[in-house]
Amino acid sequence: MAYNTKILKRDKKYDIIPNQYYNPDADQYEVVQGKNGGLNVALMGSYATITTAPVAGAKTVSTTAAELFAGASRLSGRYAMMVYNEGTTPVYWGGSSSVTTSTGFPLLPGDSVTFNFNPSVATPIYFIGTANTSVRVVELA
Amino acid sequence: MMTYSIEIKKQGDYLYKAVVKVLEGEDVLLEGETLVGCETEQQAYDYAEKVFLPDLRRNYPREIGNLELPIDSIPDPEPQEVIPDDTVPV
Repeated sequence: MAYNTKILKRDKKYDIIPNQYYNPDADQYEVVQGKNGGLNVALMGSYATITTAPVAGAKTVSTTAAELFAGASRLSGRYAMMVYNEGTTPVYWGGSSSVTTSTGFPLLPGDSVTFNFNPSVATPIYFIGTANTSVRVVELA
Repeated sequence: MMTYSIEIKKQGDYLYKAVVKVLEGEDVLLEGETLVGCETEQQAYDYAEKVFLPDLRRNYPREIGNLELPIDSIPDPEPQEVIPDDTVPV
């Protein structure tokens, strides 16, 4: 059956109750409840779901500031990137190519960081180190 | 035989885009690009050749694992004899 074949619930004065939703499992309208002045809401799904194959890779952070990503170029439409420092020296990151080891945010050996992105906005993240340092990177889109 | 090309494009002050291609004959086996923040175009080129390309080769061994790079011909430093320091008491 469909929602447009069902009858909305009414209160004891026979007025239609506001805030109802169609429950396809029960095949009927049901009243939305709430508390603290708000309606209960169930979040269904999210934009943050994998739609293309993730890309993972081993990369080298060098003494030259450069954009970091997992593959041969930045994954288009990515919403997340995780970086794990598997080296023995800290690496430093920032949103500008002018990041230095003195200004960047550190990622210590054995530590990891997760970046969340707006998939529709291409945002490079730059890394630099005091020496060549191995990191692992994964990007999700 | 595999070859590679590196093209450096200036993107702004101290910002360069490095576009690398690995070719077999005229076929492009792999293409990648990255942004590099440095002082000169030569530094961006060096980064692409000495860091970016070796990483690509490591991550795409089936596609370009046979690519030869200049860093491959740099010999490992020879082990040096360690002379005991007699001035330190045992």
